[in-house]
Amino acid sequence: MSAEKDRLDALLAAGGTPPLMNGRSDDASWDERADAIVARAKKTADLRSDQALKAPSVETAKLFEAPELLAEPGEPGSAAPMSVGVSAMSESDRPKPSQRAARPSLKELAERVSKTPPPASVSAIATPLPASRASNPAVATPLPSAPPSSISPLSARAAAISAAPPSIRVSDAPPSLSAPPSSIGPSSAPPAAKSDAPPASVAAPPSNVVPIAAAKTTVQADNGGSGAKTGILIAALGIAAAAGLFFFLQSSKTPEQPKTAAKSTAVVEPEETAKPTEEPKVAAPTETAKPDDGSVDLNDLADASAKPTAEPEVGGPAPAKGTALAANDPKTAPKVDRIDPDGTLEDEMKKHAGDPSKSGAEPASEDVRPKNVPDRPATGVVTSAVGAVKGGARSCVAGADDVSTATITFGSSGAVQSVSVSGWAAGKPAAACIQSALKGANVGPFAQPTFSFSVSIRP
Amino acid sequence: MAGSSDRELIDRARTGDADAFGLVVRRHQRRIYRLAVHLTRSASEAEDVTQETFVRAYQALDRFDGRSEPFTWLYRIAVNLSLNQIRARKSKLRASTDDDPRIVALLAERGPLGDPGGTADRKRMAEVLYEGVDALSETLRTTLILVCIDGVPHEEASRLLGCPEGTIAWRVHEARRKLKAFLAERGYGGEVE
Repeated sequence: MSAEKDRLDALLAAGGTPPLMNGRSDDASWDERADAIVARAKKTADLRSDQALKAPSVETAKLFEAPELLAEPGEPGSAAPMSVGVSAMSESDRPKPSQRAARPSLKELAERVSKTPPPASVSAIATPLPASRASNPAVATPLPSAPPSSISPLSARAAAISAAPPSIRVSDAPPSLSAPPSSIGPSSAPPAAKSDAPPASVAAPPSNVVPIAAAKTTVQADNGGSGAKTGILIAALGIAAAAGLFFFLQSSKTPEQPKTAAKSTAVVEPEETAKPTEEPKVAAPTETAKPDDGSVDLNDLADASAKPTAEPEVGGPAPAKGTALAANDPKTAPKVDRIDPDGTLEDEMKKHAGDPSKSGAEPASEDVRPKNVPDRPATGVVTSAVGAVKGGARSCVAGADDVSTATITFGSSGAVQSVSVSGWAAGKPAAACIQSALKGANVGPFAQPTFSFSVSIRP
Repeated sequence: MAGSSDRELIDRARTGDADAFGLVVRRHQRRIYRLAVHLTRSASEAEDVTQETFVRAYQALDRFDGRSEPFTWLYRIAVNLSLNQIRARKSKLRASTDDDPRIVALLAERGPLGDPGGTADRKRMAEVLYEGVDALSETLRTTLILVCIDGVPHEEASRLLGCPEGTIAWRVHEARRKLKAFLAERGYGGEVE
């Protein structure tokens, strides 16, 4: 490359002084010309002196200043936009939610699950990518085909996830029967991840964002199980247990109802009650939450014979949509312990549901989410995420004689918001190459608005 | 007087010594003419620019503050006049190969060749080379001509064009990159010889 550059420079520098208009280029011709120039200069100066025009015009004054040349796009220190790379980093270029590809329905996902083998355990830790990244080539960054050999096992896992076929990514994960509808939000995801452990990605919330804690829990629970079948089986058992519990409550109406329910729960899922991780405080299979408006229909709650109702019990068999959310609401959750044993179930439901317009589903989504994501991404996660794409960035500075430094800013979704390059590559086309390579890093969601991480890129 | 520096000659010219200024003209007119030829792509316009450069400089001798070398000062005037000339054109100058003074100079320096085929090849390559240079933006082209064709150091070019050295380096790099791509598209990639 250097030899080619030298050849080009030599060629450009070649060629002497072109001949004058008269075709001559000998010294005598140049001397004649010099004399003519001096004579003209003197004449012009005398003329100007005679006319008292010693003060130069604005046009003349500009001749002695630096030429006015427009800054090139991407030129250092210029405000002109770069032609490559930077525009793709802009958040404004991301497709709006309305432009994103439509998500498959639960029915479609269920059909896909029946045809797809159970996902590998590592897929549960997959850092979720927005669905738009896969469909928008302007934003999508090619991922490295294989992780660098020097990266840690964690980063190797992350790299393997990146290279995994789309069919096992989070957005296409098998559905959980207890997965919440999109209108409810991700707040019920963590309980679902514990209760429906076997399918690795069943806890994926509708927004395609998996809290890291939930994902890790899922990984632990997923020991290569039978995937969807196990999940369906557990969910069915949960429904059956809830139904049985409901009938029991209807018939007995005794002060010992809560204890009975607890026993029932323990029989259904003994493993889960022993787990030291976050337990769902209130969970029961229910269809009462209305995704359309987010409120709870009390008539539906009262219709015990038609649908299973919410189980106001600690350690219920399975997490559910509205009830799980309500349980996480600090305002509604304590009421569980103050059930009047003499009251009817309908009364209790109304008492706990409160004003339908202030259903627990909506506020819970605001309170729970920050608890499920770390304040900032863990160092190991960041290191592995960056390490997975660093190889691509390093190839951009092949042949460089100095170190380049890239500062990566991650958004709270975990995706890269911006990459700034300094050092050797700054101002060179290699900077855009580095930005493009590092853009593929993803550290998973976190609470802070942004998180920056600097990485040195050596040739 | 022939051994005097440019500064000394300019100082003497300020006092009315036209011969001293004549010596400055003789020293630098060829290089300024060459620069103007590459910028304007026209021998006649380059002659005008060269003459005007020295005339304007002579008129403004009092304005020369001595912070830069006289040659840099003259070069800046020449670049400005050349750019004014280019911008004043109503249409792009399309010089034919035969009267493009740059190609004539390039082929003349390489010497007459006995092989007509070889000469034709070199001529064709020179045409493509300067076509690529002319395809660059005014900013990149001016910087490339100053640094790569005329051999002005980056530091001097940064003073001349009024921008940081890093910007000069970036522009030269970018101009080279684009020029190489241009040549490669036309079959001269990696063998611009």
